[in-house]
Amino acid sequence: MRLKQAILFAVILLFGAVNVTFAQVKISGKVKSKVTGEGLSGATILLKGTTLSSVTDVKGEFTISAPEKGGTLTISYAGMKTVDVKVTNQTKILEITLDETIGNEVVVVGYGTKKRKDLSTSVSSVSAKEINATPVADAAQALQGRVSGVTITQNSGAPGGTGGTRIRIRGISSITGTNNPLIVVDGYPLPDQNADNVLNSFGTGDIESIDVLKDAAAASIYGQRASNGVIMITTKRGKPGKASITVDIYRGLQQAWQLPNMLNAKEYAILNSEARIASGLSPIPKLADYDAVETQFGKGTNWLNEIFRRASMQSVNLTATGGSDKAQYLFSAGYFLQDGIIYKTDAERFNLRFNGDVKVNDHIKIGNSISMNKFIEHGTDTYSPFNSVILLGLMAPPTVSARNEDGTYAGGNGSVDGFSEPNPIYNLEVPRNKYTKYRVNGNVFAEISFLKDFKFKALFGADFSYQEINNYSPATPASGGNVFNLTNYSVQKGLYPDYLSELTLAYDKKINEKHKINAVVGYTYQENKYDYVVAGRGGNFTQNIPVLNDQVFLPTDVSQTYNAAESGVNKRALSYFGRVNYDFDGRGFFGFSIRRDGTSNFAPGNKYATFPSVSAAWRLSQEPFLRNVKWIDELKVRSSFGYTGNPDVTGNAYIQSINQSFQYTFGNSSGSGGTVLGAAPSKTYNPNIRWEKNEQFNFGVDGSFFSGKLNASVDLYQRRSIDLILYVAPPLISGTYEAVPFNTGIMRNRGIDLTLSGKVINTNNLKWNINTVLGTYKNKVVSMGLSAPINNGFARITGGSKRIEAGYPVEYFYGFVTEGIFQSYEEISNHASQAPGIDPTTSTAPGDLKFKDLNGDGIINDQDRTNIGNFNPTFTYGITNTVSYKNLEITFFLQGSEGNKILNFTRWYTEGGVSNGNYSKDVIGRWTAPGTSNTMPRLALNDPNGNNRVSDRFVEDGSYIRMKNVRIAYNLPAKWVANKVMKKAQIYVSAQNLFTITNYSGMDPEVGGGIDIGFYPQSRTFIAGATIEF
Amino acid sequence: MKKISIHYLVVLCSMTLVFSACKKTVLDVETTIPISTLDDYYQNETEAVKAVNAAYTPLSAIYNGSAWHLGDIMSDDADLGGGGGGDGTETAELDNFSVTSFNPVINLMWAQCYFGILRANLVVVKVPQVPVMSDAVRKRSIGEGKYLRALYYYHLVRLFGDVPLYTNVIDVEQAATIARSPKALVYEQIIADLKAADTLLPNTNTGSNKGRATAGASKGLLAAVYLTLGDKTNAALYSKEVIDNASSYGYELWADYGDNFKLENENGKESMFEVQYRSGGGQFNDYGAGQKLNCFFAPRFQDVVQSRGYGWNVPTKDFADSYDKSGATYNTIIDKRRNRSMWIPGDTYDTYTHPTQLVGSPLGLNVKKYFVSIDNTLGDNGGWTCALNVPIMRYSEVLLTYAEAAGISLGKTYADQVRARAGLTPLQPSLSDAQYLEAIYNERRHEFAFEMHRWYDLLRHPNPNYYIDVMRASGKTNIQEKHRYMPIPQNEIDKNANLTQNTGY
Repeated sequence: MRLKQAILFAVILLFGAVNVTFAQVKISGKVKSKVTGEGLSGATILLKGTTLSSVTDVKGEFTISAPEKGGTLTISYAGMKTVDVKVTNQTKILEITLDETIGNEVVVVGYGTKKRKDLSTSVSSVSAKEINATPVADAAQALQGRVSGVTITQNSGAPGGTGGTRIRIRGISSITGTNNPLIVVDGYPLPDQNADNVLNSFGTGDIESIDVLKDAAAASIYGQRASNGVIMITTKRGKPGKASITVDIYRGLQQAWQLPNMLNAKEYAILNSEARIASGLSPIPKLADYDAVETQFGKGTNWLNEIFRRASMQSVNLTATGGSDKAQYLFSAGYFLQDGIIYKTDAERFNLRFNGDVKVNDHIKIGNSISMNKFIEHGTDTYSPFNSVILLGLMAPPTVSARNEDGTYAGGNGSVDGFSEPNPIYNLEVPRNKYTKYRVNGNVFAEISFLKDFKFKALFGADFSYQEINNYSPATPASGGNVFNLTNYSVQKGLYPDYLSELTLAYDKKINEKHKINAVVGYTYQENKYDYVVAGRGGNFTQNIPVLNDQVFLPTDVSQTYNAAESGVNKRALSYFGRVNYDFDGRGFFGFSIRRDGTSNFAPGNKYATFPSVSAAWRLSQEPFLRNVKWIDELKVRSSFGYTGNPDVTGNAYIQSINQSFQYTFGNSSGSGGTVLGAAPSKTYNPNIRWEKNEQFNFGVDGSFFSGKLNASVDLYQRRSIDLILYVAPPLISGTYEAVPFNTGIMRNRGIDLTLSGKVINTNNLKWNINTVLGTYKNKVVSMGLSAPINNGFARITGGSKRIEAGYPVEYFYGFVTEGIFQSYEEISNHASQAPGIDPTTSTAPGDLKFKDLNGDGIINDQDRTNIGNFNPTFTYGITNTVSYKNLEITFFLQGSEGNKILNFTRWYTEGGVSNGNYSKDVIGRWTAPGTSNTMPRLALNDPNGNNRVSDRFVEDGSYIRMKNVRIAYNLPAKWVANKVMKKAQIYVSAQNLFTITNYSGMDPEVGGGIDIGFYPQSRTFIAGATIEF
Repeated sequence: MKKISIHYLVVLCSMTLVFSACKKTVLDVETTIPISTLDDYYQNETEAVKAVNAAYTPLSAIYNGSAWHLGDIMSDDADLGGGGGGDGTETAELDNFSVTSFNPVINLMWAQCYFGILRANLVVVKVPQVPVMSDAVRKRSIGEGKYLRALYYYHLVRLFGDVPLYTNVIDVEQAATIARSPKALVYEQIIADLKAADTLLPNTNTGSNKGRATAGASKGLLAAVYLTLGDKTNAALYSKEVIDNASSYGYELWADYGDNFKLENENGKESMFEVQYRSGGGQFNDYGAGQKLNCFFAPRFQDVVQSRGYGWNVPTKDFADSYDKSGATYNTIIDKRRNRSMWIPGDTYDTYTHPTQLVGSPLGLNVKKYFVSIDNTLGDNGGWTCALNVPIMRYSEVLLTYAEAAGISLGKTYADQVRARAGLTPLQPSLSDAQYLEAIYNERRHEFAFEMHRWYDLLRHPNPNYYIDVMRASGKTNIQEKHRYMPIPQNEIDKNANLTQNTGY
């Protein structure tokens, strides 16, 4: 930027709009909606060629000073057609009526924008209003149920969205690579970082719109990384007109909506003793006398009440915009603080944004988007199958307490309680876990128009994120299991610098009003790095502060360790792309795009790949045979086909490397000394590894009927992931064992996306709109090529619980089929052998589960496992109802999922056979004698029959319908706010997750990936807030 | 106007060119942590020694996760204990002779042996060309490579019979097409490697090199290999060479049998070669630096060892009863080795008294040989990581190899040395050859109790049906002739069309 321009830019930023004075005349008027006849509040009136502007008040009225010689007023309002009105010095009072736009809203596509009616590809959009209706920490959560074909699962209710929100556009495209869509913020493709919470560091109040590029023709311009679709996020920008400041503030209360019922002290004593006796053990002495247990402990410790709490959340967002038609700005600042419903967890975010646009002259426009965020989470383990505090809380016996009478920590004591898992309250209060993220994301751009039809744009951007994880567990006196006698401290500091440079040249030409050509070519280069250092220490502290230095730690024992490591990833991508759109007479639309991408992930000959796409659309409603059909406003058919790619593979898979991490021991080592390192290859290599490709066919119809009362859009698609990268295990004879990636699989997703919106009632005072989205898909692994089926899943059971195999949906649940419960030894002897023997403490006995002998060999073993369900829903949907009556607006938003299965392993922990931990109330209905139960097996601590193996016993229907959001907003009447200070004010109350209808027995039916081990449940939240515009 | 447009286009094109001109290098990135490849490694002594160390690593997993299941539990010495039900089905398959080609214990042995073989091959191929290293270390390293290669092939050939044999570095395609070589060729390679290793390896290692292979270990293994092959002449020849040169190797029996299995006596005077373990890490898998036998063999859930004790390897009553005793039951065994090898009811340790029965051990029998108590946190600090080494060969084995190979007239005195230490009287000189062989077998059974030799001793008996007879007698009626060889892992056959399965699987 030249110095003069820079100064000009700064001046504009400092003083807002530049005021110019003329001889003036006052014009007043009213802006009304053609449809409702009502005044429109907040419409912008701008005197063309000047910075003179005005905004309508709540009644839709305005006054503006125009120069005596007259001019043109431009009246604009979101969602309405913009109108130009000529004024002369005679004009005094104006009445302007705006018509609603249909299909005229602008949609953001890759490297450009388009009007919706001109689209030949599949793009869905969500507006700021919908995003801000729900108080979410992560913008991805706001997409849930709003966009057809996009399945969003909130993995966890952890504060700040840190548990992640899974976004899957049109099913699942990759087995080993990422399935996260590419997220582009103001033209900047964000690095993937392999996380589901990429967006939670951005302020949700800043978002103007989110457009989802679903089909290949829309996405393939982003070829690289676009195989999972693209989410285009556009942040708000300044508008010409008087400066305005908007404050949005809310505060809320959250609580768990459903917690499992566990046994009380006496019930636990009875059941646990029964389980022990059944495995040949005597009852724990402390629990042997059930009545004494009741006397001593009463109902006992309700651990879940200890862990969960009511929690508050609050948010303040401040946005200032303004500018002239030469320069516009937007500043915003936001603060968000959410306490978790699990004790001691919280997250906070502070975000700043500055977006600016300057018209340097008629040819050159420059601008920038910059956001700076700080995000801090105090979390705890709520996700691991071993030490999640939720699991610890479920399992801790009611006869154990969290604290001793003197206030020190208690907890299970192995020799007294038979239970020595960590005390969850200790784990919440003592170790301090902190996650900090700073992120600066921004870009600057310049747009140069020349030769009338050409536009050249250069955009340079950077995304710096710095992440720090601190875990500090000071030695704290405690009785009970697994307490930390030594202090441990570890810190990880990681930097993710990411750079982008992008040059595009666009050409826009209209020939004879009938032919419109729009073309763009471009070049982009992106560098993606990740570097981290991690270090940790354990030992005796001399001071109680988390620092690694020797002055603080005083190592006195060999088990006190000092570890440090560093690692990282370097990636680069280089791409060229081009697109041509041809619009014939506003009737036919044709598009072709191509992108050539190179990545550093592959061997020299395989770095580049080309991703082409074609699309076409025809507006049938413009044809003579439909033009006179009154009830059809708009009818368009479109179809597309194209390729996208996924380069997500371990770097250097194409070279044979030496693994230098082998260890052995030499010397006189009767303890932990004597380690030596070894070096040898542990994997072979695949020099031919290349891009995963995704081909997608899409056919869609868009329509608008009955004067815009009903809008519908439907898309049918098939996606095929070809050259799917699978890690193929080598023959062990090779002397290596690490699987090597090959392009060898094929996977398919077929589905339908449907959006229906209607204006049920549309009168002056009362309006009711319904918007429904529905998505359905079927996923199938067509071929695994060289790879054997893959088992993975639940870490507490070896052999896996999910399987990827040709002919099945990806990651289907793989386990045994139950056939009820053995009621007698006769039934056992007539059945295939499970755990043979006559001793009920070590073999199958009446009361044990009967598993189906699928291969008929008379033995129940791993070969009898099969498909017992999968997590893919039959369909997901969202229904938004908006009812407004005068100043009152009520929105209720239902969201649901149908037909998805959940493997509920929370029950693995709470239905016996695992430990001396507590049991769920359902276990009271267990088998005790013939005929007592055919579903809940007998209790036996050592589970000799393997009742706890992966089986359909734990598979549950995860369908649910949830009142995701109810919001009642009231716009304060004009007379209350009609002072000079305020322009508009709205107060609102809302409730999230007000009710959930489901048969699922776990804490929350929203489980990303289908395996539930009692993740952080979502809360029911009540919010009250206000939005005030000054 | 035209000119301006051309100007713009030129600028644009040149910018594109500037960027694309560097595309060749732009997409070749440095890794954050440097990567060595097969072609650029092996440049100096450190790297050569690291290559050798890696060839030892598979021993840890083999003796943690496979050798005792096959050598002892599959034999008449021990059965699977544990928690019952689904606990250890893979071991139960071996114990009950219902083993299939999917068995993970078999697979582990197969895999780890080939990992060791590739790494040993790399040592033998690459170390001679390492530009900078001392001759002594180079010689020793090549010797270690050959010794380890022989050891791994010896495990494979005894367990599977014919196996793929290679002595170079093979790529993934060769590994997917290589066929099995006849047993005889495999043994030829083993013998050639051990003879060479004998000349390359030092007699002793000291300090931080203790635990590396020695010439004595190599010669002792060679004698054992000949004994397995039934070549008594060579078995006697090489075992005698070890005995005659015992002082130069530093070999001598401990006065107390139990001293062999003490942490402080690791790599001691009786040790010829042992798996080197160390504590630390606390991991729960077969592949750690530590030994898991302590936890897996200790009385189930009695908390006399770290991680509770699982009681997986349970001595049979027949075995406990087979020790020399003064009365009718094993309560009056006089063989001193019993107390160091197994727990019987009434045994005490500190305040612990071993009970008459435990889950998985109805008679209250458990293995004690690798016992490191719970309070010795230096020797075992939790997880499955006990520091105690596991013997692969002890000097007493060479004595018994010679005793067996040389026959009663020359050999008896060496067997009597081993017996004397156990507090037993010399063998009767009047024994027939068959009785003498039976006596030596009995001796080996007690001397090497739970040292994972028994199954292989059953197999190599001159009577080819010996293993079937013994196992049938011990109640394992499922055993068939096919069980002489274990099934080749099915996932290996799936990946290699030339890999045939053993008969009967």
